[in-house]
Amino acid sequence: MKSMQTPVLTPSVEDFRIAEAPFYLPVADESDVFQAAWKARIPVLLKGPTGCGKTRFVAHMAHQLGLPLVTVACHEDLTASDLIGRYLLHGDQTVWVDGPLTAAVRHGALLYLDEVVEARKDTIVVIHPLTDHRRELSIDKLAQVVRAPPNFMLVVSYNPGYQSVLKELKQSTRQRFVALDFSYPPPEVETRVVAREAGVDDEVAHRLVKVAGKIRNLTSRGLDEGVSTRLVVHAARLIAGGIPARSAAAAAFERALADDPDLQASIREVVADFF
Amino acid sequence: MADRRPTWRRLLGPAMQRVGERVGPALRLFQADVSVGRAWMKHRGAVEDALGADVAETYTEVVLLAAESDPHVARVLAFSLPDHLARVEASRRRRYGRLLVQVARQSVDAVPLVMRTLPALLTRLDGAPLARYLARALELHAQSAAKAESFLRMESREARDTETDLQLGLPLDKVKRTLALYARAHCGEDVQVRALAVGQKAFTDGRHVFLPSVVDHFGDERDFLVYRVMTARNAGYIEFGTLDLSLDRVPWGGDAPPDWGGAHTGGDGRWPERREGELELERMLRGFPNPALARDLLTVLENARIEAALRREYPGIGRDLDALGQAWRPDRPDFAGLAPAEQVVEAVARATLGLPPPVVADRRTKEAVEVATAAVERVRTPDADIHTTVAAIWAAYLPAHALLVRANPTDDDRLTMPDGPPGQGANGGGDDDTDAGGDGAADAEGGGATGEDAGDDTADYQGMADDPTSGMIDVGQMSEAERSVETRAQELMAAMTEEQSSARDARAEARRQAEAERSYAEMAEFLDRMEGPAGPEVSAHEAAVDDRIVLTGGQALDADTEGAGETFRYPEWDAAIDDHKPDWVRVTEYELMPGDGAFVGQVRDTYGPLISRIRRAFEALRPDALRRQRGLLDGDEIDLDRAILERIEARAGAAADGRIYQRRRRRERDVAVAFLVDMSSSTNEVVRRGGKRVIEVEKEALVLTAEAVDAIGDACAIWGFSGYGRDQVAFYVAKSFSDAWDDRACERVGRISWKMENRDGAAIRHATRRMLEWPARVRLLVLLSDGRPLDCGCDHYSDRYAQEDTRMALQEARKAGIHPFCITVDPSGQSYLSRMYGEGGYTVISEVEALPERLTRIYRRLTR
Repeated sequence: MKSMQTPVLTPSVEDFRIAEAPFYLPVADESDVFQAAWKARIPVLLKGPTGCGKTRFVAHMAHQLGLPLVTVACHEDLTASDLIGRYLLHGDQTVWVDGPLTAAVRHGALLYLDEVVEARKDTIVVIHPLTDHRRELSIDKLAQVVRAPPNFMLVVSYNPGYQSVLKELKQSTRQRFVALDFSYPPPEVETRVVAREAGVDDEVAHRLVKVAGKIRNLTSRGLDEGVSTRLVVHAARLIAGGIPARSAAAAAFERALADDPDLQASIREVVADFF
Repeated sequence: MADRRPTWRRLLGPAMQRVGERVGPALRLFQADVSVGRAWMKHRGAVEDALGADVAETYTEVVLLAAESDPHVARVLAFSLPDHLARVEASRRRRYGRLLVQVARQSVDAVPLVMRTLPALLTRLDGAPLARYLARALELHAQSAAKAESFLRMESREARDTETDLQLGLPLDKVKRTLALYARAHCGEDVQVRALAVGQKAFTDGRHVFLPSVVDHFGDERDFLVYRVMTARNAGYIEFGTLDLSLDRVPWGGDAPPDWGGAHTGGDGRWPERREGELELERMLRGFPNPALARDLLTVLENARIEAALRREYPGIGRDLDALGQAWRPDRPDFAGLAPAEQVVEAVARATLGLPPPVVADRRTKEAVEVATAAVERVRTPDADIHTTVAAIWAAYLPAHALLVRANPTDDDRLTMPDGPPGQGANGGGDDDTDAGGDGAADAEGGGATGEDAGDDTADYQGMADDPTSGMIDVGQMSEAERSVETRAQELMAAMTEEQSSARDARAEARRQAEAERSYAEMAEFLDRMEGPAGPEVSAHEAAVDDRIVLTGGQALDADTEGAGETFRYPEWDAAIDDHKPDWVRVTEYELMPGDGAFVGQVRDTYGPLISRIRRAFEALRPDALRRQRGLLDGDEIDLDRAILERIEARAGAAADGRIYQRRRRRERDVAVAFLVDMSSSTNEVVRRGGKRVIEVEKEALVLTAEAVDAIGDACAIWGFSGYGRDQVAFYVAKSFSDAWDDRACERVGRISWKMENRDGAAIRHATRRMLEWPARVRLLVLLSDGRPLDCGCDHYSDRYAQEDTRMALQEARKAGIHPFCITVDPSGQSYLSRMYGEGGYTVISEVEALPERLTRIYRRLTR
């Protein structure tokens, strides 16, 4: 058991605490379902278009449940050891550094894998033992099995709208989760979110949300994906920063959403309907 | 020449008139020059047959004018003018002819030049600017023919400057797509924008927004605002539910209408019985003794409602309306000069426009005006809908009608019984709608003849000139098919009122049903055509091919295919019994053979530059041919990082595994894609008038995408399918996975043509089998379809049965590891497509012409 002599470094749990309550307005019963899943120790899959509040929801839940939150943005080159951990040379010593997955398990945190389909399938299988009754993580290099404390919870998210056949969640993976569908919040909620997030008055927020609603009518009629709430907030922040509404909307909607000049022009006209 | 006809008519009698018209000019032509006369004789009949009598007359007139001053020019014109006339777009032909006659009157030697160059000019200029441009050209022509030529060809600098100076206004073509997207953003439906003939006013038929082909009110950016406002207003009828009228839901309050008796009331004592194929709006208008008056009130009040709703929903449109102001609206008519009933409508119109109320002298009229204008406020309230408008029409109609009756005291009986045929009422006011700038073409829009039908009633009610900024809803313009959708929607709505189903759903449902039926009708017609000797649109060759498929169960041998290949049996899913019917369909494979290369040439001509651009773009996506593989026990070279790690681990006391080698290995993207093209007869439809057929666009799209797929290095197959009945499903192979993508393959794609029916399920099952034979990690099956699965062969493959079978076939494919994706050009397909393909499993392309460019982009996204 020489390996036991190797010092193990793991990030402090305090780094993962969410100090301030994130602002989140529930749309339906998503908080209750999430909480129930956490109690029942079932991992959760969040589906929804980009920028509709998935990440914010996770932060909100972590805070509400008093859990530290470990977030990993998945990408194609993410390897299993990026998640689990690796040895590093530290001076003349070899040190094991926990990856975010291991750290989250040790701390009994909420582990959030954002855009999970972006990670390669062979990487994703390392989470499998954590998602069933075993709830454990085995680290061969340390010859350790770390058991997840009751608080630990795994949350993954993905955007089904991307439609790439090369990037799909394997059935063996997705059937381990219960799923919550996210979409853009209803106008009243979105208005409150925008007003609050960007610090603009309700009238401006209301109009921006109207614009977004109209632009979303163009989804699959020219646009690949609708305007995210995040973009609406961006536009509102630019306005709060003193940029005239039309310029702000041009930057946040027209140019950010489309390259096609006709489409840009039609978005511009929709903006002009309200500003 | 006007005085020529009576002479001939008198001499020859009406029966000989046509001969006379031809003989008169002929004599004059033969007198001027025999060869011109002969050439004219030869062509005139053909011109008349092909292009109509008007055009033939123009032809004669131009040749005659030329012959009288320059036989040489006349000869040139006699021979070549028919060709030029034929080439000019039909909508511009009359203007082209009239202008040539004018030019011939002024300067005969300039005519051949103008004849050649005018068609291009007509696409860029119109009206006064065009006239000024031509005048300038004729002036130049007097100095130098060459100068005039380059001017008319728009090559000289002077030409360009002049054009810029003269090109006032904004052509619709420039902004059409933007406006269509804008309208779709507003109402969330696939609205299309169409151009109007000159002089017509903007309107919508509930599906399309018709806008003038050019707006030239201000000559600056405000012209775009005009387009924008027109689009928003007309889309507003769709957005704010003008078509969702259900007469049973009109809130009467205290002013229920009197019993008019006769044709104006139905079982409920208020509205006439519904007629076959009648829209609710038309039935509503028919319920009024004077439909023309009711229609004007509808236009005015519904406009007020829509404008109020638009201003509430879109503050920016209110601002634009205010910016455009009253300045460009036509002057209101002289109030005092109007008949009493017209004064009432005019007062309502002024009230809706926010103009000061007119001074009314007559006491009774004044009272009527007060009652009628009070109705305006009702339609402006936030919860007003079309039913509010109808109630308001009644409120405003009654006092106006009373004045109408008073003006014609002797006509009382007939007044209450005008009884025009349905449909005409809705159009009645059209004749009077010509706005200040119109040139009379508006009668094309009127169609109805309420003026005559209603007899003297309209003598004191002339209808009103509309405000051109406001839109109009004109259901009379709806196509037969759309109309049947709407009427069906009404029936469904009536049937579902208890269930509180929304009108919009009802309409969508009706559209689905209507489309299914339309396909049957088309198919019946198609089969009729097949039975005759090669009917229209079908070349003898194609007809023969399809005939034989029908007759011999797909054993046809012909030039397109190499003859029947293997046959396969497949099960079919029957949703009714919830089970597969084994060996239910027979699929026969046919190899499409390379043709003459014309298709390849044509695609190269059209898309040459695009093809090379696509190739470059997709080659850039090709993954690096070699990929480093690390952590091997054995390999080409030592991986330094690994070796160091190995040392660290060894020093830390961990067991070294010696996996420190790396190797470069070919990286396989390993994607196989198959395109499966629906070759059913409906793909023979033209995309738009004068445009390409759906199948032609699909073929071009396939060629471009095959280039892209080839550039990226994926395996690709191109298949088509059609057939007739369950024993005769034909599966056409244009390119197998193993065939190289070359001119031969491209020619074979060119052989894809429209055939008969589409039994999607069977084709998908066969495609699945063929795909599984090709080794690949990712298999993508892309269906190019133009509508729902349908096979009217000996058994019934349609609607739910067909969709469920297709859904099941797709599910089987998915289970086998194939990713199906559907690209359809059927904009109404959303609902059944999501049922069959699932969300994200399909895309709808509303502008078919964009398919070639879109398809490559979709492929890129799918395999990103």
